[in-house]
Amino acid sequence: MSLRIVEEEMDPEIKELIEKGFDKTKVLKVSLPKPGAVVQRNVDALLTGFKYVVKPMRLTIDYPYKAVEYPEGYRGMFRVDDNKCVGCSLCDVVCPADAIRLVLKDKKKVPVINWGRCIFCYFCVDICPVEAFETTKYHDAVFTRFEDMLTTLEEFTKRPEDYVPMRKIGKKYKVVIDEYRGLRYEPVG
Amino acid sequence: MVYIGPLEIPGRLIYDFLHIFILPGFGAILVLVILIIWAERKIAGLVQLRYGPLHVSRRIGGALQLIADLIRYSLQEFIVPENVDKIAYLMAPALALLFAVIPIAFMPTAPGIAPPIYVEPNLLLILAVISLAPIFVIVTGVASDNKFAFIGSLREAFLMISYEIPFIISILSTAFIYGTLDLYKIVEAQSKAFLGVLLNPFAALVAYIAILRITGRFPFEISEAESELVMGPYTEYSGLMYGVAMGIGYIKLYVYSLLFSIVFLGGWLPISSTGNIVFDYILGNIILLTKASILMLIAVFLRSVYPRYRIDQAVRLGWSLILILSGAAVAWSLIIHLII
Repeated sequence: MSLRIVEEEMDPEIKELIEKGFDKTKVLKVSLPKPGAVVQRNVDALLTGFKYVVKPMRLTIDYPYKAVEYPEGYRGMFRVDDNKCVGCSLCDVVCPADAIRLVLKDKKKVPVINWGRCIFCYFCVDICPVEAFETTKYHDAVFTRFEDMLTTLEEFTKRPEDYVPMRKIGKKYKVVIDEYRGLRYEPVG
Repeated sequence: MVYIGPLEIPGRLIYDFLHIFILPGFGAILVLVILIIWAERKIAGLVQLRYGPLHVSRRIGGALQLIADLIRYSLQEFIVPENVDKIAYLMAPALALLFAVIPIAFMPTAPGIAPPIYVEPNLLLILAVISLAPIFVIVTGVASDNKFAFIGSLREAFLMISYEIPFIISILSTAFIYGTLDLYKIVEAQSKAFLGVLLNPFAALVAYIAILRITGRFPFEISEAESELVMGPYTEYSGLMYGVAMGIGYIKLYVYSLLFSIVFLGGWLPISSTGNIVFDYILGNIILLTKASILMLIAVFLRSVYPRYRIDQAVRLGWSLILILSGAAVAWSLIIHLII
């Protein structure tokens, strides 16, 4: 094995040391692999790969057959309470994805959402001065048409379970990551 | 030797049909290639702590995923780009496939039964035919009028020259040991002594590494490098032709694995000719295909372990270590020949 370094790119002091006869690897503070280490490394890599083939360890959740119970404060879909809303339009201003649009209702500007654009950042929920948004953990929506993702005010005041097309998902579990065996599913409650 | 000669009609004709269309031929190719691609994706999934294909036919681990893919490819629109050289573009993958499959007709795969086309030095003939396939890969790249395809085909050309020569040298070096270039006699010679792997480990090592390169498996999947060249020489293909182009590598892997298991692993060896043709045909083929499948599984397993070599590293490896090792294989064969 040899170190291939362009001569011009070398520090002049280091160059001088090497010209004096010092060991190149010690001057440059690098270590070269021992002869035979190549074989050892290849065998190690193959054995590690083979270990996982024989003893699988999976870190992918088996969604949608098993679903995760989301923690408190999970940012899922939400609805607006149009009676609480004061029509300040702050949610429309703060929305980074331009997902919120305002519609007129009784001379008051009330938000409706485009689920295709929403990134679930919850800026609107946080900024609302009267807490007019009610949040849920619901997230497993499947829309088959773009038009369905645009909500009307009538829809957006309902809870998402009541108008969003649902995805059929399995039982909910608490998922624990086990360092040696992969994911472990623990029943909720 | 109990060859069924070419004149023994009607048994001969039935056997030829079975050889080409069922057991070592197209039927086995279709089933094994589908299973091997599934296994490749599944093994890569396991090593990367994922599931791999699962949703289609969940009960048997997603094994039917590839059939679903095949149906999708055949129903997809096949677009011929405007600026391609149309005849070469359409013909090249088909011809590459043809020249990858033809060698099966020369291979004896069961004890006591001659292959459909029996020529005395059939090892030479197989090597000659099988090394024609890369030319059509290069033709696809040039005909596609696409820079990725062109770069891919250039890489293929570089690598082919640097790995096919050691492959042919190492395979032919075994002729010193066996004293013949006929695959049937090679298996017979192995039944009298040891398996070819033990007789000449250098040749087996070089041949296997070269097979990995020739069939485009990792760590030598350089001409079709997905992350650099989209699909290499086959970038412009779509629909069913893409499916064919993707399958060529696996079909080549199958044919080369058959060749490797005949030359180095003793073919159908634990059994020898019993006189019962049906029994010999079925059992001999199954043993040979099992050996070939294990080789193919190892080859696809390497995808999940190795990264891809850079082109200059692979070419340097081919012209230095692999060529030297193939020279060592010839020397080793000569020594064994002198001892025996």
